[in-house]
Amino acid sequence: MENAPVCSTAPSSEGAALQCPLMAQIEARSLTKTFRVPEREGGLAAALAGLLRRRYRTVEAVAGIDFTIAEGEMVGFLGPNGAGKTTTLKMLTGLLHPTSGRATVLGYEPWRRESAFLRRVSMVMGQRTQLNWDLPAMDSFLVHLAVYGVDRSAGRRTLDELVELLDIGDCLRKQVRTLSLGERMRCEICVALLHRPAVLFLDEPTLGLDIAMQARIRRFVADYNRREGATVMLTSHYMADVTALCRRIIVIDHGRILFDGALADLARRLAPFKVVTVDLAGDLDGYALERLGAVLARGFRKATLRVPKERVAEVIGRLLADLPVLDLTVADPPVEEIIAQVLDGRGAPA
Amino acid sequence: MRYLRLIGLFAKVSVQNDAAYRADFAAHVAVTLLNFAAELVGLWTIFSNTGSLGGWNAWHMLALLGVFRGMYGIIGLFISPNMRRIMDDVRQGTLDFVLIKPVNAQFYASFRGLVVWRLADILLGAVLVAAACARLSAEVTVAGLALFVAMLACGVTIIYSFWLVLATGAFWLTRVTNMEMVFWNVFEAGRYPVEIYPPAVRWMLTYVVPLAFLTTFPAGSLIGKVEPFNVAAAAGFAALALAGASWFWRFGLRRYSGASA
Repeated sequence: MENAPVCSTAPSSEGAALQCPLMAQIEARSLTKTFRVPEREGGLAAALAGLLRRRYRTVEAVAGIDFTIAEGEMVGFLGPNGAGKTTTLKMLTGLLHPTSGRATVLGYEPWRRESAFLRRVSMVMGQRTQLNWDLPAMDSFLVHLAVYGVDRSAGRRTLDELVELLDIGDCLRKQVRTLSLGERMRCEICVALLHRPAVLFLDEPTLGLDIAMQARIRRFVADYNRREGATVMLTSHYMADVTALCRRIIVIDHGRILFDGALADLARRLAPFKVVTVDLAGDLDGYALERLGAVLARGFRKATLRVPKERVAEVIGRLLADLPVLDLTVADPPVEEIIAQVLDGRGAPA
Repeated sequence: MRYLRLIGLFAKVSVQNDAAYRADFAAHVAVTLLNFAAELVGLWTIFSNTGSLGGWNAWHMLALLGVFRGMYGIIGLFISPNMRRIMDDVRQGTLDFVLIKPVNAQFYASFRGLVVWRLADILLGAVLVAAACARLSAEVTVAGLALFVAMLACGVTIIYSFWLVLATGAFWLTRVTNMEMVFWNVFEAGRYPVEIYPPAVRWMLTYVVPLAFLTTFPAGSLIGKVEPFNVAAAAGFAALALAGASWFWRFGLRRYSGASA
């Protein structure tokens, strides 16, 4: 595995990926997907009328998005349910044909589903399984290797390696339906990586897993990205997945991109606030915190405030002067809050 | 070649896992034998009243019963389980994992799993046909045997195509399982030669619901009971059905991916 060092995960300054002269691996230009969905009112009469003449409504799932992802980058794709994340991933893997616009992945047009293309990509969907429920996981693995035409000894090596890294040695001989969710998910990831894809699409890979298992899967994905130099595109509901793994995020809602850039930039550009937390030696005694900023939490001897950036110094000074402060921290607001702000349209779109 | 190897692997995996349920396997074989016994009793009842059924004597009928059994086994071995899985995949959205594989999707979806114990039906069918041939050695020729194999292949192709169309229907209709029930009920009629039915029904069972191509014609070709026209029809129909079904499958996929809209 003598892969070139991967820029986006190298511990360098932000925006490293931009300075890195790597080839674009995923490109979307005005990529659009609309669906026609049948529409009817509730009630029996409407149902009967619907049988005779269906009315359709056109829904724009992805409304002309543009982005470029370089080789080895790991990008978080964020947005609420129905924002168009999965639809975009499906277009990039060739499962859906775009209504208009174009996309290239590894230089191929995905929807042609050329086998040379399909051999180099993979997809994991958190809520769906590609393993056969009735078979032991090992059988699904062997079939997968054969279907992808992986050389027997190379396949064996990859398999052993993945089984060890994912710690699924005990699951191999068990029927997939008897596995726990965490075990099954690790097997799903194993099968998806057996052919060593250069581009990996992860759609909600940690859905429903407990915190420890989420962290484990995260570590594994980060490691895979580093070792193989694979490009990874990840959607997740868990912000922690994205903040832990991805330097760059793309926020999408109603099929449009609201933000595309470094996670750190998102906070800087879109959150003109700091969160100030103080621990006190004595009671607040009805001290008028509201004058200093929005009160996020107010405890017996503890308080959290949201303060505009330009007032931080002033507020800290006042707090130190007025109250018996034991400890004081200033932090960026949580990413969840910033994203929520972007989605509310309060932040300036990128 | 690569595809043959893959079928071999699919079969191997299926055998290994079916073998893990030996009791199941035994129960299935027992049911098959009971079924078969009932069929023999039925045949015996008929032929204790008459010497011929639409020109077919008891041994001819035994050969037909063998073909029916074998065809039943082939459908159960790979056609119906894989087609049922396509329908499930469409409903659950897991068809994506079929389409993302770097092999022909129709091939992969059609052969990925086998129900191994159905081999019992095929074996039983083969024994029946062999027994009938032994008894009818005066009527069975080498050419007849070759034609029989060819007609059988046409029959399998036709029924595979029929099921593929049914499964592809799942792209539009979410509940196709009822259609399957209808199919099995109609298929039952295949255990008798189409000659016993009135001309109108016979015509229907040949050209509308091509049941005759599945059992009557293959069995008939064994004993010189099939007209040359129907041999040509079988070949033509098989080719047309396969091409049509494959086209329909691709059409369904295009709709699934939204390429045609």
